[in-house]
Amino acid sequence: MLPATGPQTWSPPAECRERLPEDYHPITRTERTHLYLDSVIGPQVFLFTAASAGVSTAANVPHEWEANSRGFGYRAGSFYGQTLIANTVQSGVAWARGEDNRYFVSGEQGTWRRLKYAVSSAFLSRRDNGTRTFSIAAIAGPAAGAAISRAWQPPSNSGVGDAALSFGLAIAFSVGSNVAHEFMPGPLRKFLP
Amino acid sequence: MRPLLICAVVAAASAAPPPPAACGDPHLPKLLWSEPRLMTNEDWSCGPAGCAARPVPPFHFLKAEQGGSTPKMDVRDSKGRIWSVKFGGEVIPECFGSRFLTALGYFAESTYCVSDFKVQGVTGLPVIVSHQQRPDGSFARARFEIRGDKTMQFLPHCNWAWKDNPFLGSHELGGLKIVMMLLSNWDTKDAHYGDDSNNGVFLSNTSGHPELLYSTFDWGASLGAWGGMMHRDQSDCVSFAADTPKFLEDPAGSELDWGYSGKDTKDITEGVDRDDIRWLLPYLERITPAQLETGFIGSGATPRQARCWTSSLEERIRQLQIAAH
Repeated sequence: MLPATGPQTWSPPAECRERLPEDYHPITRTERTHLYLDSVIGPQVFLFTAASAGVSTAANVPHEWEANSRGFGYRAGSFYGQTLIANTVQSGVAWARGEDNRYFVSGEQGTWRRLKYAVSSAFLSRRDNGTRTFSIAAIAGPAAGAAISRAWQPPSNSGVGDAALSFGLAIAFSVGSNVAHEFMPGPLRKFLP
Repeated sequence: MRPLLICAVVAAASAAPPPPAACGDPHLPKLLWSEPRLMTNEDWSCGPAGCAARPVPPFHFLKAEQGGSTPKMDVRDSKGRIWSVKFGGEVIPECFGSRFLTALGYFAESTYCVSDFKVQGVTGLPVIVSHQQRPDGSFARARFEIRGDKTMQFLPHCNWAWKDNPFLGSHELGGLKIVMMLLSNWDTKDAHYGDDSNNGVFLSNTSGHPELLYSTFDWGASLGAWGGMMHRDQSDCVSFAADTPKFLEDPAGSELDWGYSGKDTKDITEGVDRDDIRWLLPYLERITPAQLETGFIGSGATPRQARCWTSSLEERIRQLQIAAH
């Protein structure tokens, strides 16, 4: 063993800095519960809700809610409601089907390979046996959020086309989040949803 | 209605089987620790019972365990021995825990990590177990623990508490608490949790006379992050490493300030002093980093994970060395 030396200077070695696919182990019920709670009441959710509401208020979309503080409140409530529905449905379907949608950094070399892995991971999940398959939960969650949230949208944003656009944006957000997880330096990843 | 309810509760409580007589026998020696033998590389690789005793395929399915959060089944191997097979995230922690505890002189059931195996005659698996099976019918990795171990006979309903046991104030108990923290085992359930306790008693006759071996036997919730409900995990070398700088907040300080947090944190952090560290250190210091890595790989870890856990454990031991001075 190492001899006792001075004050603490240790920092985790390279092997310990990020979780790779080999670190996968079947998700437990407790871990599923933690993940779900984090996805609906974690700080990142409120951060991204506020950011999304800020952008759409600045763009005044939908225009019926106006570009003021009340409009910001409506939009923030709407984004949060949609996220709550999407993540609840996604977690429920994942639990029922034994899907695990956690993201593990690829550990691959080369930008193209890493990018391919990150993008494909938005549509794939791991099963308890370690294999990766198409994820119904990853589609059902955003679809449910986009569709059900039309119920409280004003007329200019409540059509089928609007729901499709909202679904597309949610999937794009999921892809972008994976790409950020893959390429961002480790310490910054904790700010990602 | 209320008297009836009380009667029902009392009846249910009295219907619970009593602990075995040996449990409270004042004449039986009670041991928490014994002088450990030097573990060989083979012990670290296969497990403390050695490679010769490991499970031998083909495995025949006996039954699956219903309920519980961890998938389990019983199988019989080609030598006719019955094994409890556990899947999931507890495989590496349980297999490594038994090696580490044995190396330090604490009592642990012998466990083996078996990879890439098939089980014949598998039928009627509950979903939680069938999800472990690959498309070709094989299983990736599992912990095998022998049923009906003659050397360590588990005594049901015979639990002990961290703050109520025959070893209070001893270095052996302080040392066990340090080992709990070293491996970040946050599942501290003891006799206060009834039969959910991870602190049990085993009857042993290996020394020629019956002895009661006190043991903490479930190490599945270790080698990850310690902490509260929303933070802790298991078998995660990244979060284990992240907690490591906080293992002892100021090792050279006047007070021991443990970073550890578990289900009942004070049960573990209280009653540990520098003399306990000094008592345990010689046993820790004779374990080499190469043996730790071998132990991790033998427990199912990849070489990268083994290096990560080993590096963190070395650092935790270094902090103990500073605290002991």
